[in-house]
Amino acid sequence: MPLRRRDVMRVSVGALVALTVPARAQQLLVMQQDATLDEVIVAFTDGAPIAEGSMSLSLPDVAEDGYRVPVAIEAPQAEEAVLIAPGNPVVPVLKIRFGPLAGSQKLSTRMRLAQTQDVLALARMPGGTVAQDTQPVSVIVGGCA
Amino acid sequence: MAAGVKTRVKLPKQVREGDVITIKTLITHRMESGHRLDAQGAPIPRSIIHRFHCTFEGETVVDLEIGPGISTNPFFEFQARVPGPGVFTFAWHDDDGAIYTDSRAISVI
Repeated sequence: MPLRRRDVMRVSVGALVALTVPARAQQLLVMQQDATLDEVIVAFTDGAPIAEGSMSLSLPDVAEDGYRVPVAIEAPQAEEAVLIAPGNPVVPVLKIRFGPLAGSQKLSTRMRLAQTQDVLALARMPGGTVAQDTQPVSVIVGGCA
Repeated sequence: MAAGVKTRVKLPKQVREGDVITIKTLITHRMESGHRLDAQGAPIPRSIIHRFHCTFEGETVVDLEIGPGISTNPFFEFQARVPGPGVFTFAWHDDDGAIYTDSRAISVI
């Protein structure tokens, strides 16, 4: 069969599409509803190593009411941070981007916790490294997250 | 969720130039997670505030992507640097497409 120009075009267009469609890991968004814990971490770190320290996650040890658990993230110098609840139906809870006018890299809010779990926070530092902190929380009445 | 949404913002009215101030914000919103069932056992569709963006004269202070794991009536407390007089703008983006906004002018002494 002679090689026709249109066949060549078809193949090359196909190859181009295959190259531009990223793998699932790259498609993942940090705040994707159905993402697993590992997927959220990969989507946020993008392969950067994770170090303990240089950020802190504050939560009560015991949460009486899982519907409203006060939480504070403090990550000096961080550009972005993400709050993760591995035991919730939707694992990613909050992604924070600190803008140029942020007075500090600190944010407080209230979160839902469906069950007793280790709440996790990651922060991306200016050098590209990622800091992590984990806080175990006992939940008495689970908040349907 | 367009009915009965109220926003509340607390920050000082007057600061010194370059000061770092604390801002507290709240919006009344039920933050329906999409994981609950109604009395008939049918899932209640998700309806949450999925983004909060605070800017000062066009520059970002914080920009938040929010999941259903944030409590009813989302509350956020954070800090901002005030480079001069201007207006803080706050925007809450609802799943239904509505954007609730609030703004506060601040003067510098």
